[in-house]
Amino acid sequence: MNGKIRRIVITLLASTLQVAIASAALAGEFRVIVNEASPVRSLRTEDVQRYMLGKTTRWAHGLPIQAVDQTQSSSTRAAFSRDVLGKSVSAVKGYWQSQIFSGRGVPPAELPSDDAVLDFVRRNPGAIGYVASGTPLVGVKAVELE
Amino acid sequence: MSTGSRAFAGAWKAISIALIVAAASPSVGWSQATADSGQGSGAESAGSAENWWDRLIPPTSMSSEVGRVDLHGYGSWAFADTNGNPYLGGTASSSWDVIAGGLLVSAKAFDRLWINAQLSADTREGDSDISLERAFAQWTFADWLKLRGGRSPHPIGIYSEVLNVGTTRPFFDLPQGVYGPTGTTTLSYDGAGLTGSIVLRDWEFIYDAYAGKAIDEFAAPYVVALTGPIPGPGSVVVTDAHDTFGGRLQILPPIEGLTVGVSAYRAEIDQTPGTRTERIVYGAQFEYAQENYSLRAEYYKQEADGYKTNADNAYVMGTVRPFALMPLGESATLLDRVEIAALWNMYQIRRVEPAPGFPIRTPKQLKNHREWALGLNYWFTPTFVARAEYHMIYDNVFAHEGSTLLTKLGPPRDLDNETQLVKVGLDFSF
Repeated sequence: MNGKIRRIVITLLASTLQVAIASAALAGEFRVIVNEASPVRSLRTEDVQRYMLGKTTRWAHGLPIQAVDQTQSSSTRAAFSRDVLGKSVSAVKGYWQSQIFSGRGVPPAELPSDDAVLDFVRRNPGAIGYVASGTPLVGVKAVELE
Repeated sequence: MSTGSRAFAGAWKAISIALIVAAASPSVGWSQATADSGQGSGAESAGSAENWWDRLIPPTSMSSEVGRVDLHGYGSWAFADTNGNPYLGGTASSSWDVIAGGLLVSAKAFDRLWINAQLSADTREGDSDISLERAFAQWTFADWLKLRGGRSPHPIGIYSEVLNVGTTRPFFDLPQGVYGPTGTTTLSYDGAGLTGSIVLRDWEFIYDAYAGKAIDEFAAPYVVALTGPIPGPGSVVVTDAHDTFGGRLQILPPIEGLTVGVSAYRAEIDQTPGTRTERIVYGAQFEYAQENYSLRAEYYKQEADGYKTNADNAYVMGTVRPFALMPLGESATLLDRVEIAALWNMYQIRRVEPAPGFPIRTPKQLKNHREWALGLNYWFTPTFVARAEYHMIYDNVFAHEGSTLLTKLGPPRDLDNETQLVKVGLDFSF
């Protein structure tokens, strides 16, 4: 009987630990990137939210913001949505439905891979996007989130 | 050419213009393809936002978003049945043909110019109608200052800009007291408006101000209650709202999901040929929406000077996803999509003077609407939902057909003031 209880306790502890490890991993799953020429070095999370949700459309230095997203099935997008936008990918999709049909805005373009996002951000001075943490950054730079 | 055909032709003209303008710009692509379009060339303006004017109204520059064209649409199909009076597409003889849909095209023609056109169509009780819901251009000076011109959605309350899009709400139809054919909200207005968003210390203020001509729809019993004349066939009377002007202010405090706001507008309605009556509408909105539950409420008051009357309309609507709130783990992903919705809705005309020459004293049931409803939704995705709902309606402002109304009001009065509606079907958008 005691052995059974011990096994249950160990299983529960292991599950808790797994969840904690998974959460820690998720926290570092993405990096927010901008074009290398951008003067931006760090951004408040609230500002990134506003850029990605189309509420702010110009950088402080004057260029139009060109936000770029990843496809809905992307795990990087799931982590970004949760940690930066504070919503699930579904909730963000719902937000855009209202924006589209009220004539207030259209969502950022969705790209299928980290490489496509890197390429887009590299080619557009006003771009902002995010890629998985381990992705090598060439021609773009990561910004620090405050 | 019929009104519907003219609207259809006008709509396609607007869409064609939008497409042509977009096609003429440096690059064209559907929304998914936008990222492959031309390289931004705005670097020259990067250092130009130095003075206060440039900070207020940033200088124009080209970006790869120019030429972007988006195509979106929505649709709804439902079975509807009532125990007698027609209501929201349902009749006593049941119908599988409650169908509605729309198509929206938007194009970013230049850095600051955005063109938007939307067609809508619906079929109810055997009648089909296609209309140009909106066709407007928007010039963005800055996020806090955008100028709109053309046929734009009427900004009042929470839902007036998405009146027909089922996937933006918990029920097939919006609460009729506020969004039904009572002239509280109108589908769109022809004119000009300003809109924008201002952020102050994590508080966001979204404003709208507009002027032009709107098109009002009134339920036939409403017209009978106010004016006395027998309305024509069908249950909705359409009239112009001249010299409309008004505004809306929405406040988003730093509490995720919370929005409060106030709206008001003034218009002149054709009372009889050659005479107009002034109508003023004002009210407030409350919205607290989280992923797994939401609560929305709105209240509006209408005052119509010529009719010496006023009306109150209000609703409270809530949703909850019960399984998503339970700690069921990953295995409950499919159950998380189940949503329960509830609605209480009222509309009441408070009459001050009797309509001149009205043969019958306006019965109370033509001045009231009370409704409660329960709905069960299954959200396959945020853009595709299956619904089943039940409505209980008391009185007849909306739940009656205008063409037989006066006959039924005569003796022996057989106007049933209780209506039950069942509606089942799908809403989708893309």
